[in-house]
Amino acid sequence: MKSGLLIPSIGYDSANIRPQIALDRDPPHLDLLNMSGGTALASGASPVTLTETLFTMEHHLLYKPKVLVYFYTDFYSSTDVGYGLGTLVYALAGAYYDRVTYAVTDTTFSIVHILSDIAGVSYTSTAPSKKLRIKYMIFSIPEDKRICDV
Amino acid sequence: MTNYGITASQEGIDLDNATDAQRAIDSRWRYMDILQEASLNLGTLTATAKIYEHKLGFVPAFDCYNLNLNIYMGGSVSPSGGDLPSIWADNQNVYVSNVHAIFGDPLVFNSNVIIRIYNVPITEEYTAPIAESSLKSKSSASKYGVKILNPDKSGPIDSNDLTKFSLNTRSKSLSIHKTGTQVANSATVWGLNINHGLNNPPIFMIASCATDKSYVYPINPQTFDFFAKADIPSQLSFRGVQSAMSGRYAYIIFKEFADFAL
Repeated sequence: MKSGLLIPSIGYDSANIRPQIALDRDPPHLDLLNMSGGTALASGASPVTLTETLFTMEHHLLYKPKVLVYFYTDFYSSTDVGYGLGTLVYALAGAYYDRVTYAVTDTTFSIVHILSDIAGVSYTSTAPSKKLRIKYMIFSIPEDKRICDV
Repeated sequence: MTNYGITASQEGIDLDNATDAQRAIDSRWRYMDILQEASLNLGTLTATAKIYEHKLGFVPAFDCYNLNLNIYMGGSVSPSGGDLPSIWADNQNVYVSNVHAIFGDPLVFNSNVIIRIYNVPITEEYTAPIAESSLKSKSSASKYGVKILNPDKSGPIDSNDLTKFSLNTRSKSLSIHKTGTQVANSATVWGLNINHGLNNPPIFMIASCATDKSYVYPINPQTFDFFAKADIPSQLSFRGVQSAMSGRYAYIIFKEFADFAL
């Protein structure tokens, strides 16, 4: 016999899997970070991808977790507050792509600044002028495995 | 007006002081739960193909994680510069097609993917009531709470492994404030403006969808092809990074705020 809880009006069924964020973890799995947008990564006359890690932490889960990261910044103007989900684009043109995003592994969660220059146009990142406020959420479910395989 | 239901706040939060986002369950609004998940191989993508039957009867929010490339698929260019194949879901199935086959990325061929389908009819117009949206500080730890084990998982009730629970008030659940679709106005820079009424910038997800709402592309939580802003507290606005937005978009606005971690 199976037991559980159903709330039909909102489609809740305890047989479903709910992505949840543990609130009792150290370092926290739900938090805000405040930081500069990175350094002035600069490409030269050859194609290159430059990366710098702005933040990293161990998540202490037994798998690579699913995460949600919201970048929240004031770099449009003081009243024109901007966001990004997973990635915040600093600059994007045909030859270069400058952005801040996240990286997650079986052991760590990181915030990274990446400048990709596919044509060698000698671009210098404007990251030092950005102030970032980042909300991250590390879910206690794997990103690269089915739940039933955990 | 009915005055009954179920609600439970996160551990350590007094229910009388809990914001909507701090309620681990509340029968007045929806939460983002996984209804189905599947491991699939995309094959060689030479034609449009149905790759999964969800049979839900509504167009669901879903995501698709490519295990070979370690990226989420949908609406983006692949790491080696080719166009990723299109993946979309209608109210019965998930389909895949490499619509840019001539430029197709060989790295994508025979990729293994995990598709997760959520209990969110993302194209349906839905707005939850607002019970308490003003921000409260964290309270002290509490010994009270609610835990419901997933019936398909075995495990002790005091397990720290949240994959075993369909609900655990020692954790944060993402409650949904609003879903729906909107057509972008390509004649203006900020072509998509969504009123949510929360008076604080919320977290969100967005995906392109069919003009007639008959299908939706996956949510990509990793690669964001837009700029968003929240200079008007009750409104989220979007624009394309390189060009004006056009077409219809489906969205999920959560009750969780972007600028607070409570």
